[in-house]
Amino acid sequence: MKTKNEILEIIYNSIDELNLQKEKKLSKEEKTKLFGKDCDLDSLGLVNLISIIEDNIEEVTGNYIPIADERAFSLESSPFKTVGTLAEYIQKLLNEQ
Amino acid sequence: MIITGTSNGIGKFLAKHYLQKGYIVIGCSRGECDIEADFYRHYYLDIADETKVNSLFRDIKKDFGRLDVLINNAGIASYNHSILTSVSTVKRIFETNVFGMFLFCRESVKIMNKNNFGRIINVSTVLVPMKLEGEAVYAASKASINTLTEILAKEFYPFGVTVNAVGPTPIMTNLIKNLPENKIQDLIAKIPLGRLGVFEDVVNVVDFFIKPESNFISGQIVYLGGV
Repeated sequence: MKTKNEILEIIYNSIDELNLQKEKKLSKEEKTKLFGKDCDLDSLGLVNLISIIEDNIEEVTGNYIPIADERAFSLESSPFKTVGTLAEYIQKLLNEQ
Repeated sequence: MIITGTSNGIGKFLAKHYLQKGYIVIGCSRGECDIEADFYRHYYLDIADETKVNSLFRDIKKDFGRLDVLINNAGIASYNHSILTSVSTVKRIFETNVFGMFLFCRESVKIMNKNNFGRIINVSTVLVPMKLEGEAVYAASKASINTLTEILAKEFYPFGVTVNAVGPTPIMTNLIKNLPENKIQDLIAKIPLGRLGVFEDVVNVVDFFIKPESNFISGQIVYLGGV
């Protein structure tokens, strides 16, 4: 069982890894947008970030959880809208394990 | 390198070929596999079983940290009139031929991405363009593979991964050995180059797709036999 803050820490570490490959850095805040208008991440960047987060979750929890959702690119209900919604979504996936 | 469906037929031949070429080969199948080699590892699994497939990829990541080639070969065939085909058969064929193949592509590219290099080769069939009666479900599942190949090629190219497919003519493998002799002769008559395929025909195309120089070739479906 992981708290939202623990998951946020995993996401922030993953953003650090991603930022090493990026010119325009993604900020480490709950409100940071992960796709859509005014977002510093393109769809490829989001795919890369999710892949890094999956690795880091596995490292911390020992569980591999594919973070896949058909609402990924839905403006209204995507769990990947912001860093905060992603953390909540990952928490839900971990609790379902 | 991962090859799915290595217990017999094309998959077994490909595994032996690439072991001989010095690759470390990870194979899998549901049925018994008798390949024994120092650089061969076998997993007994259903390729559509997400939990078991995820665990295979975790092992690869942990033990090797890289993956260069995926050959999606595992498949099941069905020769039957649509009216006599049950929905459970359709589900079983799509689960293995399409869902399993998709799962292996998705998980492979996550590892290939780390080296910005990868080759995915999917095994299709000439039965897609030939559109023969009795092959509706099998050909439809392979048509899905073709479409996935073409679109995944675009999605995966930014990660340095090419995705292509080879469409063999029927080869005398377990997939067609139960067809009546006259059906096989009919089939041969419809293949422009006039013969069943052999494993080497398939290997030749796979070798070509794997070559480092083939990095500008993606989203292609190469049919054999002049089809």
